[in-house]
Amino acid sequence: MIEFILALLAPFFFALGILEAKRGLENSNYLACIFVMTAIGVVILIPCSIATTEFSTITCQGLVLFFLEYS
Amino acid sequence: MSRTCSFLSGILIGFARLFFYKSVEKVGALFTSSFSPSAPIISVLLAVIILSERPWIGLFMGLACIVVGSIIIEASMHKGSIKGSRTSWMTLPILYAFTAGFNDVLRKQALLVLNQPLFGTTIAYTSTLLLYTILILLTNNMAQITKIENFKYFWKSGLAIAIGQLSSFCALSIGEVVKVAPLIYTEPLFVFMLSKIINVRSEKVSWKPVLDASTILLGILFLSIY
Repeated sequence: MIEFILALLAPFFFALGILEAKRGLENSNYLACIFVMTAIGVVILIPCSIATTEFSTITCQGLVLFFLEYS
Repeated sequence: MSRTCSFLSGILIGFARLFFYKSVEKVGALFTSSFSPSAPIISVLLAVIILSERPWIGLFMGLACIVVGSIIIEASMHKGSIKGSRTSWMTLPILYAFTAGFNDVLRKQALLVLNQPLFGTTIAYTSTLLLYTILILLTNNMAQITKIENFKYFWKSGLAIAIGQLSSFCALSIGEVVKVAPLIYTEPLFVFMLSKIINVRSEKVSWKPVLDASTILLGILFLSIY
């Protein structure tokens, strides 16, 4: 059940992001949009990730797969 | 086999967001999002092939609805509802759907190896930032891109998308791709509802894309029945 709630939360936030981005695109361009959005994500996620990740469980294979998974 | 496929799809996925936002810029958020439900077709098929996930009758009914919905959108394009000058940009949402479809399977593959959704989201974001930095440096646009005004325009969307990505990572971490991925692509409904609420001035909201999207969403509903 929780996976369905999470799966529906994702498109809600994506839609919110898309519409906000559309507003910004009136005054800027898509390259700035994707760069700034990604940079904001990195700034938010890195501290959260450092605080919660069990680094002892990280494998090289997993790291490479996530790295390849350009979201 | 699966690692090779994941590697190949990973090369393509870097372009998903580029296609998406270029498409939003050129053909609008609502039209672009109407194509998003096509991505689960790719996700589901690859999940069955690569991850050996189990298909069921609702899967095939759902895929049929999604294809019909996509055809309705294409048919409406040829009736002149979209300006002729935009025609060449119509490939962008299609390319986005294909590359995004690969994304879910690759993401699940990574989560099967290392089940840490937050860490995965961070690594994916960092690698994406690296890719875009290289791209922007190559086009000599860094000074223009990193203007403070751009951060003012896009920080809210950056925050929302980051939460959305994290949610999708967590959902895929817990559930199977064939069950979860179709739900992740229910964006058109939310885009429409939020368009009404936020009242995006630059894009006229009509019921037709919603009708098209509803057909596709019916397919997604079938996909979710198991």
